[in-house]
Order: sequence, then structure tokens, then C-alpha cells
Amino acid sequence: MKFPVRAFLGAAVVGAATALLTLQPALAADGKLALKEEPRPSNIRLQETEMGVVYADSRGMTLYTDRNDPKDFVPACTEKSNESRGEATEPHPDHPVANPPNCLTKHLPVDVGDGKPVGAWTVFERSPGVKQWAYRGHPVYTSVKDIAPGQSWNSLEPGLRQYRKRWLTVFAPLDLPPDIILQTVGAARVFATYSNHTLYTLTQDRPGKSTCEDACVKKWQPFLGGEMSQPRGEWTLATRADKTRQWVFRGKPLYTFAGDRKNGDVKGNNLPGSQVAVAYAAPTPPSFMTIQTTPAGDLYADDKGKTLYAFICPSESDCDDVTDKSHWWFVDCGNSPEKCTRQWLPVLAAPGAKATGNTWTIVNMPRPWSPVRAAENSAEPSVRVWAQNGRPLFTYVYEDRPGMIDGMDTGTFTGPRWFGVMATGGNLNAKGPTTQAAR
Amino acid sequence: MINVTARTSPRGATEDRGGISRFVKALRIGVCAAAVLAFVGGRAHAETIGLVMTSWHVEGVFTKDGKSECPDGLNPTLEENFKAQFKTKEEQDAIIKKYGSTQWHYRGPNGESDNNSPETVFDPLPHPEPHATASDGFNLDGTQDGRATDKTCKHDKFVNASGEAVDNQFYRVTGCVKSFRPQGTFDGFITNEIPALMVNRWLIEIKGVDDRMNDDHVDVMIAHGLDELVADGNNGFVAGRSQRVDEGSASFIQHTTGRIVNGVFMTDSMPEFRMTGSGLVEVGERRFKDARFKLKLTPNGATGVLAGYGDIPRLWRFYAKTIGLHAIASTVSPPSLYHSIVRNADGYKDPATGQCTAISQVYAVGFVNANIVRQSSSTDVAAAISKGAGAVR
Repeated sequence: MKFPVRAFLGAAVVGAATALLTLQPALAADGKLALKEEPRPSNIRLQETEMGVVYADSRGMTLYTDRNDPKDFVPACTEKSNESRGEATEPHPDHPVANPPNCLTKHLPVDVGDGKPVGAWTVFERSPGVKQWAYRGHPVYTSVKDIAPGQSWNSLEPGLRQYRKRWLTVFAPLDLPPDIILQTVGAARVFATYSNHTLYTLTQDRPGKSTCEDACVKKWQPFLGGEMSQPRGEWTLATRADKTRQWVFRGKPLYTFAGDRKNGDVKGNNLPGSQVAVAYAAPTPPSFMTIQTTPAGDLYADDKGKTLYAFICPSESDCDDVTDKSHWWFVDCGNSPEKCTRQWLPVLAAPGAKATGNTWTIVNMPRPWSPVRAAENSAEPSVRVWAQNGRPLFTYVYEDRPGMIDGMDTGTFTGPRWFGVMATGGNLNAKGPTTQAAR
Repeated sequence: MINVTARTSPRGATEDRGGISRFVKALRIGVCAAAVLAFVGGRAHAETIGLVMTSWHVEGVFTKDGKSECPDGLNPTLEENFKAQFKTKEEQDAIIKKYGSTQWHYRGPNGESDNNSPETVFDPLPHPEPHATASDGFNLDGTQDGRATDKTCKHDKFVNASGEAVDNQFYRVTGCVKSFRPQGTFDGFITNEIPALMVNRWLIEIKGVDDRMNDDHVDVMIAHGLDELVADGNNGFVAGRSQRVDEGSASFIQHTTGRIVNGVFMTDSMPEFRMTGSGLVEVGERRFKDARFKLKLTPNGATGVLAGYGDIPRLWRFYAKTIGLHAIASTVSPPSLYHSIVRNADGYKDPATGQCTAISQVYAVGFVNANIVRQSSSTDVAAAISKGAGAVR
């Protein structure tokens, strides 16, 4: 196998830097991880996003599957479904309930066209003559929330507290050994064991050689391969002193952390000499943004530490997509747009500010504003506002200190409400803000 | 033995001087040692008491059927008020058709939500308030009779078990509301959420305790915790487990002082006390003015009250997104609660309007002992974890 010089040097540089900046990921795989080769239909393509490579339609629009799809292959997303999280969507005051948006106006089945089933891709016949691609048995859709290739805005990653993530991005599978999986930690995707334990590297190790023995292994448990485990691409196995074989990626031996108790835990991050094995770091937020630790978890905040909120609706509601009505928002403030605009303050983009990628962008909002962004080419008066996954960001006027959660969960019973923008995994980003204590 | 009688002998004098010198030195050493021992001994006796919160209820009288404290009955529901406000089926259907809601919330003159804009809706059915006069708590306004002062509004006082006049106007709001009563929806949810949701993990550390029964000065830290509660087999929680302080939530680490009198720990009044909490799985911040804890220390923990004034707008925002958001399940009508809060407000009088802007609140709280771990460095984090400080967030 060819020695991965660049990867090694990169890892070494990062390793050295982490002596000072322990938040930097050791592996920072920068999206160039090898993909598993699998056949796909001609009108399905690969598309890079900040969260990794996804399957996309011929336009490059990200594909999603519906977690609500039952196994008997009857899709949950139909023109009759106007519900989310299993609850009836509460119609809005003053909003005509005739012809409300439905799941299929928000999510577009991906047409098979002349394609034939191939590999993991099969054909699902929604209705006589209407054929939709299915990936690994799940019908796939694009979303009206995405307006350009490379976006994954229908997914609620980075996470929002307690909101069930109904729509799952169809990521192209990586070429990983069977022992290794990718696990989402908020905004980042990290390597984990097949049993969902986050993997770490130690800066004390030499390339391809673990130096963790004795007391060290009580905290950092070498992730061992089995007798039948075989090297695969950049994944190798190093023989330890006790003749067991430890998984190694790009020359870095891999460990689990004794303090991690459940799926997605990254409690070993930030400990001296250790780093999470990050596959895809969290998308880089704007430089003014901070992460505040609060009793409700780590939250993104502005430069003054004020928590950032996004107004999120059940996916079928006429509520938070471009051209949707903004009436839902007013429920929170007595049907008074004026009161709303006093309570929720948009995070205005400075003149000349530019999006940092496809996750953290700047959108236009009508003036006076609402959480529903304006159409891109709208001639109406608008303001430029920072957004995450297309959702404009706000602060809550009643929060008078950094790291507060007063605005969290404000809204309506059945769904549309304000969510604090969770920063779980945000500090796994080499370029991102470090977590700050809310003082 | 030191010879002090042979001072005349030159040699002896020398020896004597040596003996005196040794005596003085020994005396000095002895005094120093005694002082050190006294200091160390004294400090050795000063203990630290760590507590983690395990329960939270509105304080007041709650009998099983409520008939004695609520002779006017328990609260009418949102549905009952909606149907009293819109008396005919046609009116009700017209409202539901107009606003498309099955939640009965949009009852304001312009379709305002009765929860988010409770000031626009006045429920037709009366909101019953308790007639009980007993409550634990503190005398927050300093009066014996609840008369109006420059800073407070006239109200009736409650009497605690010691016969002291105390303030707890929030009990008047909630005492006859089914959801707030024991086993009510809101009360029951909070009981379950305290172990389940980490926003409810609150720690008290009492330092410098020389005597658990009586100590006229102790230092107190209150902070958010990071570790889960572990249920025991007796409908309680295991005492003595480690709880790491959430150092990241530094603004919630609060310091005050207090004392212990006859085994009851009391904090001094805190101008402002902040904590997070939940209700019906929604989360938010609770903020108290002039806040005080009073906790009876027990071998396994402590029970008592937290009291203080709550600003009405902030208080309502918390209750609007918790019990108000789930008003149907909670069998409450938000405007009734809101207007009762305004009506019973007793503190922080606005000099311009004469209206009080805050209401006295008392919550019954329970704690079990905990080993509180400060995380001064990330190494300590690892140490705490490796010692099994508990499941992590």
C-alpha cells in the first residue's frame, strides 16, 4: 500500500497544532474520503455538500428519505398528508384552510424516467404509471427547502432540540471497513465503532504505532479488529504489544473513550492529548458567531453571546418556506407583526458579508421582517439576514444575558415554534468557534 | 526537664540559658503547633454539604379532594371557558371555522391567542382561589399584615408552621388549579422531568459548615449540574453520587451566604437568582428576585422551600410556553391564570401606576446529598468521569 505521505504530514501538522488548540480535529478528512463504489441510475448523481457527499437528482438537488415510511412500502408522504410528528397540524388563525400545502407540494418524488433498477436503487410505483426511485427500499424525494445544489436544508442537521428529524439526507456510502461507521454528532460527522462508540486519536501516538499502554488503556481503549479484519484503503491494522490488532486510519491508531456512555457521546473531546476522529467537521459558521454552553446544551450565539433562534415548522405547513405565509409567526405575539418585530430581532448581515458555505448563508427577508425568507429575486424591500440551512436567525429581545434559553420552545402546541440553534459538535470544527462559558 | 534553678553557675548559666532557650523555643513550637492543630482541627470539622435537586412543587395546602382549601371548587378548563364565551354551537363553530383551530385558543377580539396574548381575553368563568391560610415561605415584604407599602401591594399573608407571616401569592393563583395540584398534569410532568431533563439538574453546595445544627455563617454556591439522577428502589434517588458542576454555564453559578439554625439551612436574600427548568417537556428560565432557600437538612439530603418574587412578564413567558402551550392536556385556561397572577401581584410596585409588577412565589423543593465536583481543568473532567461521576449529558 502506498504510504499516505500527504495525509500523514497533514495529520502531523494538525497533531502539532493541537498541542495548543485541542479542539482541532485530528483527521479533518475534508470530504475526500473514499466512497464505496456502487452502481446508480443515470439520472442520479453524486453531489458534494458540507456534511459529505450525497446522492442527488440530475440537477444536483439533494435526495431525502422519509423516516415515517413504513416498512410495508406505503409512503407516508402523500398529497393527503398534512401532518408532522404524527400530530395534526394546527391550522392557523386567519389562514384559509382550503388547499393547504401537503407533503407532496413540499417534497418532490424523484422520477425514475427511463431508468432501470440497479444495485440499491429500485423502482417504487406510487400510483399507476407514477414511478419513483427508492434507495435501499426507501422512496427518495427532493425538497422545496433546497434552492441550489449542495444544500441539505430539509435535514434539521445541525440539530435542533427535541425536533424529530423526519427527513434523512441520502449520503453516498463511504468505503469503510465493516467495523467502522459514520455517526452524526450535531453538525459534525465522526467515525465510530459498529456499536456507535465515537473513535478518537491520541497525539502521543507515533504514526501507525500506539503508545497507549497500562493506565492509558483504562481511559483510552484501543479499538481492535477481529481475526478476520482486513486492511482497506487508508484503514490499516497495527499489531500491539499484546499481539492484538488495532484499527488505524491514515496512520493514527483509533480508540474509544471510557467516559462515553451512549451513542453520539464525544466526552473525550477536549481532553488533553485526544481528538475525536472527525470525518466531516461542522460547517464553518460566520466569524462573529460563538458557542455558548447553557443548561440546555451548547447553543450558537452572536458575538455578544445572545442565543440564536430559528423558527421551524412541521415540514408540510404553509409556514417557513419561501413564499409561505408568515401568519404562524404572529401567533407568538398576539397576531401583531409589530409586536413580533420587537420581540424577535433578525441577525442582520453586515454590508459585504458573505456566506461561509451552503449551511451558513445570508438570505433576504421581507421588510418588515418575518421568519419566512423572501424569494431570491424578489423586488420587495428586504433585509439581509444570516441563516442556517436557509432558516433566518434571530435573537430574543427578552434575553438580557449570554447563554439564556428564554426564547426556546416559544410558539404553538403542534409544531411551529422557535428553536435554539444547537451547536452540538460545533466545536469539532477546526475553523469554528470554541465553546464559551456563558458569563 | 528544664532546670531553672542553677542560673548562678557560669556553665550552668550557659546551660541554663540553653535550657531557657530550649524552653522558649519549645513553647513557641508548642504554641505554633497548638495554633496549627487548632486551625487544622477547626477546619477539619468544617464540612461541605452537597445537594442535588430532586423535586419541585408549588408550596401550599393541598388536601386530597381539595374541598377544604378550595370550597369554590377547582378550576374550569379552557374548553369550558371557550364554550361559556361562545355560548351557542353556531358561535363556537363559527370561531373554529374562522380560525381553523381545534385548540380553542384564538379567542381574542382580533383572533389573538389566549395564551400568547392573555391580556386580550377575559374568561367568563370565575377562577377559584384557595381559602387556606397556611404556607411555608418567607416574609418577603417585611410586613405582618400584608398592607401596602411603597414597594408592595396589599395582600393577605400566609402563616408558616412557626406562626410567622409569609408571602406566597402564587399559591392563590395555582392552589385550586388541578394541573398544579399533586398528581396534576403539570405537577406530574415536572416530577418526571426532574430526573429526565438536564435543565432541571440544580446543585447547592454549602461550605464551611462547622456544625450541621447551628452555624451562623456558611458559604453557598448554587449551580447547574451535569450528571443524571439515579433512582433508588424506594421511589427516591440515590444519595451521595457525584455531580459535576456545569462550569460552561458559568452565569448560572451563583454565590451567596447563609446560616444553619436548628438544622435548618437558610440562604441570605439574593437580589436575583436564576435557574432553568421545564414543564410539559418545554424548557425555559426561572428568575427570582429577593430569593431565599430554606431547607431542613436530613441525613440523606434536604427538604424545604425556595421563595422569591417573579416578574410577571418573565413568569408568564415561562408558563405560557409550558402549561399554557399544553393548556388542553393541562386542563387550564391561560387567561384565567394570567389575570389571577396580575390580580395577586404583591411586589415591586410601579410607582407610576401603583400596580405591582411581580408576584411572590414559594416552591417546595427536595434534594438528596451529592458529591459536588468542580471541574477546574479538563483533567478533572476526565478524573470525574473515570471515577464514575455518573452518566453524561
